[in-house]
Amino acid sequence: MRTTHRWLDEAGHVYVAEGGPQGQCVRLNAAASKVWRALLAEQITPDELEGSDGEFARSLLVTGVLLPGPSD
Amino acid sequence: MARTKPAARQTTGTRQRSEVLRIAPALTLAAAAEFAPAMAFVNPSVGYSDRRKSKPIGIAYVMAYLRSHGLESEGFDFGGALTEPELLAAEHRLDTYDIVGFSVYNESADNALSMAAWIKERNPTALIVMGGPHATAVADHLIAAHPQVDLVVRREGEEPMLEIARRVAARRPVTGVLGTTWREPNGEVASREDPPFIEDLDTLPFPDARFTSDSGYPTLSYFDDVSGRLKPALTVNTSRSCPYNCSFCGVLTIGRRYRTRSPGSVVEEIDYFRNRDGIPYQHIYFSDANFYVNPRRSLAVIEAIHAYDPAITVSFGTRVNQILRSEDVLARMKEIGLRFVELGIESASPAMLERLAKGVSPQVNVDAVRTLQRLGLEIVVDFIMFDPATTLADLRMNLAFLRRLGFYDYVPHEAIYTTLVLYQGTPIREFYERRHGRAFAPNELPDIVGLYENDDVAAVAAGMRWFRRTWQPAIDTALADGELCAEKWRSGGRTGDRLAQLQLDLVALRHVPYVFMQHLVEAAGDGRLALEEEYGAHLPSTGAPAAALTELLARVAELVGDEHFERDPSLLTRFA
Repeated sequence: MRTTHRWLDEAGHVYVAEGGPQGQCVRLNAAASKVWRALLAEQITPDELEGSDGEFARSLLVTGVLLPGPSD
Repeated sequence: MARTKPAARQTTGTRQRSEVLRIAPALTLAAAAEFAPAMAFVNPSVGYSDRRKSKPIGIAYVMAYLRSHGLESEGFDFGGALTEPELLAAEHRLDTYDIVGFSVYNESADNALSMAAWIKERNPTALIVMGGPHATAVADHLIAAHPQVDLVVRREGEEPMLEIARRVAARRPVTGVLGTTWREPNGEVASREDPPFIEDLDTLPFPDARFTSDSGYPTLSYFDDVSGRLKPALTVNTSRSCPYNCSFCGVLTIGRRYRTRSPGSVVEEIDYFRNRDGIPYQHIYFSDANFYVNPRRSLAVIEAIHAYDPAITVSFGTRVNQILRSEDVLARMKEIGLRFVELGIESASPAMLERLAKGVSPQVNVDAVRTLQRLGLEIVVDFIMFDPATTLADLRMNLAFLRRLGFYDYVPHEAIYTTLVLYQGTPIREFYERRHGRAFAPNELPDIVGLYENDDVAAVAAGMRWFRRTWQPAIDTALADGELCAEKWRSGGRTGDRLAQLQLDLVALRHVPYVFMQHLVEAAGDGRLALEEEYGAHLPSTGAPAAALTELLARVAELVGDEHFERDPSLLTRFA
């Protein structure tokens, strides 16, 4: 997975610039931050995630915050 | 500033008859005729305490109560004044009143006594009355040690003050009123028992009182994220006291009997002030010590407000354990206008929570925060980072809690600077008096800096004071400007790298004070107590790309450029 968004991993959370529906900067909670890191590190794919983690990952794809393909 | 209505008062009554008030000599018929005593109620300066931001609602209630019984008075709010108390008293001619009542907090005790002495010196017949939490806690001392104080009204002021004013008007002795403490002619301190609490708060008139203030008040407002509108706001109190016994809380001095107003009365008050001020208040800050003691009652109040005007939003303060009682009630409150909750978290350390007599475990704090976060309600954090017995382990727990729950983004950064205030009359003050084997002076507000029991914590606290003094103003300014700019760009549809960089830099800037404290704690834990000249070495690099604080501030300034010269006042209020 890859993203075109600028993001910051600090103080235990991931922050995604312009990641909100109106272009706000969003802070992911601890669980979502973990999923984000794993997806971008290509340790896992959205299809492999279950439950709310999977839903979260798929929502990132739907909104275009995450894109298929290898990260840079 | 000139006094407001000097000609409207008749001040001849007690001026030459100082003993009339105390020993009630036989009077002529003419002298015995009732008069309207000139009364002033004063909120003295509390210095830099954050208490100065709010109007003195206790005095306002007393003034409104007296007016409802036909007794007018004038209010003076010097809560935020930095002018010498004697100069303020002279400027507002406080020596020309028959009765001068002071609302006294620990922070304002010295200023109240200075003003009272100035008045008494010029007008020995003026009746000086002190009330409020501090006066209640040290009533005997005020009478015994301060000859300029004639009477102390303890706990609730309405009934005793009415009785005192009536007696002055009738030229009867003012000693012996229920709930007061006074000086006998032989100099001994005497007092009467407390009157019953006012049980039916609906019987009280609304706190409609105007104050002459040397500093004025900013217009109270609230920026509602949901509607994107800046709303005119009103402070309303719907209850008195709190049934809990947190050891640091000054409310304890007034008594723990919790009483509430009816929903209908609260709505009537909002309607009353809307009409009085011609302002359609659309956010209500509930100023109760604890609004959410009975969730169903609290919901009924908010339901009634919603039925009156669905556009009104509200906020309140409460304890963490209350939050866990009824999530369904909070969910409904959110639907009908609850926007944020001020939460008394205080600490994440079991030892500190025990000292503060919170009666909750750190896990309850976590659960309460998570509940509010799950509901999407904003949280205003009440926190006490340092108390005299704080250990490095306590600080680590506090920081871990703040980090884990996402409070490193939280502004203002007060949570990491806040120290315990040992208010007179509170159990925690007595605890530290016993523990340190010394009694604090009755009006002293002990400086915690000299009370730290652990050198490593004292060093961290000193480092945080340095940071606050040296860097916090620049961070606050950069955040205010940057947030305004980012909001303007975003809402204007602007996208791209500059907005993204600014957004992330603002996050990083918010983190800096917390991360700096983390570094200080780590250094102290390694036995490296930072000296002042070394504090700078502990400043963190944050952001993406990571940057030192000076660099980060410069980057935000460069991104914002001249944007801040086109400030939208509504946005400024939100972030400033």
